[in-house]
Amino acid sequence: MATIKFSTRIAENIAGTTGITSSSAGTPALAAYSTYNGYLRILSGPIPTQNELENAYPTWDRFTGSPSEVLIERAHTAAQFGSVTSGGVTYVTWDLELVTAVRSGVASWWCWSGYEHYDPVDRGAAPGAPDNYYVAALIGDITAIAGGGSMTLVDLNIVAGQTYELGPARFVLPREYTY
Amino acid sequence: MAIIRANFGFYDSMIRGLVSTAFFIDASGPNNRIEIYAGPMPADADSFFSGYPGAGSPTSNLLATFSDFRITQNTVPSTGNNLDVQEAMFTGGFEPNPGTVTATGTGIAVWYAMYNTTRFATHGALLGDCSISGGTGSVHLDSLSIVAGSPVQLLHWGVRFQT
Repeated sequence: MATIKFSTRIAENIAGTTGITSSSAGTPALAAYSTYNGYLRILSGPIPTQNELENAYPTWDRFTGSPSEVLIERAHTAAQFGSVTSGGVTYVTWDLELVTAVRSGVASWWCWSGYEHYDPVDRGAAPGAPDNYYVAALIGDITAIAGGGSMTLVDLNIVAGQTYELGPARFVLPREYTY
Repeated sequence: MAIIRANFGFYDSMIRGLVSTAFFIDASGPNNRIEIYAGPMPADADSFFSGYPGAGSPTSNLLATFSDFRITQNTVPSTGNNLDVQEAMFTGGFEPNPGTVTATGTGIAVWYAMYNTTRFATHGALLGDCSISGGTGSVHLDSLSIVAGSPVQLLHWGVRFQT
C-alpha cells in the first residue's frame, strides 16, 4: 500500500490549480478560456454511476449544452473560488450566489465541472499538435437536510423562475492518499 | 453515506497541478529535493516541516538526498487519454532517470520528503513511501538497504489517485 501525504500548502495550491478552479499552469483557465466555462449545476434524475461519469461525460451535453435534467445552473470562473485551511483540513470554498432556476423538478444530484486544458506536446506529442481539453468533474448526491447527502437543500422541489441561494459551500480536499 | 464521485479529468488536473506549478518546475536544479529517510513516516506533512525554513532541513534518520533534478510535465495517465477505466493512475517523470547520489547515512529506506528548498513556504511538501522496483512505493530505489558512502539510485517517482 503506497501512501502520499500533502502539506497544507500543497493542498491549498492544488485547490487553486485543478481544472475545476483554474488551469494546471496556475492561470485562471475558466476565465481565460471563456468558451469553456465551468458550471455548478443542480440536476434531477438518477446520479450517474462512476462508469457513466468516466465514459459518457467527455461528450455528454451535460457539459456543453443544457440538458433537461438541469434545474439550476451557475457558470463560474476561477475568481469565484478560494481555499481555506481550518483545523488541519483544507477546503475549496465558494461564496454565496443567488441563482434563478431554469427548470422545475426534484433536485437529486449536483455536478461541478470545468474544462481542463493541456498541451499534448508536453506529453510527448509532435510539435504543432493542437491543444486539447477534457472535463474535470465532481458529482454528488442531494438530499433534504439531515438526509446525509453531500449537498442538502431545504426543499428538493425546484421551481423555474424562483431565485435560490447557492452556497456558501466548502469542499474538503484530502491531504493523504493511499493506493 | 454521502456520495461524491470524481472523474479522470479531475485527478489528472490534480496531479499536474501538483507537479507543474512552481512547486517542482523550478527547471532543474539543487532547489528541488527528495530526501530519503529511515524510520516511520511522520503522521502529518506539516508537523514534519514545522521548523522549516530557518531551522534547516530535518536531518534525523536522513539517508540520502537527491537534488538537481526536475519532474517532467508529461505526467500521462497509465491509460493514455482513455476514459473507459474507473481507475486513474498517474506517473510523473523523473530526470535524470535514474538519479544517483552518494548516501550520507546508513539504514533501511522507508519514506521520503519531496519539496523545493526555496519555495517550501509557498508551495509545501509531499511525503511518501519508498520501495524497490515493482513495489508499492511512490519512490523506487535500487535497494532499500542504504550504506553511507555507497551509491543510491532513484529509479522512479510517481503518484496515483483513484476514482
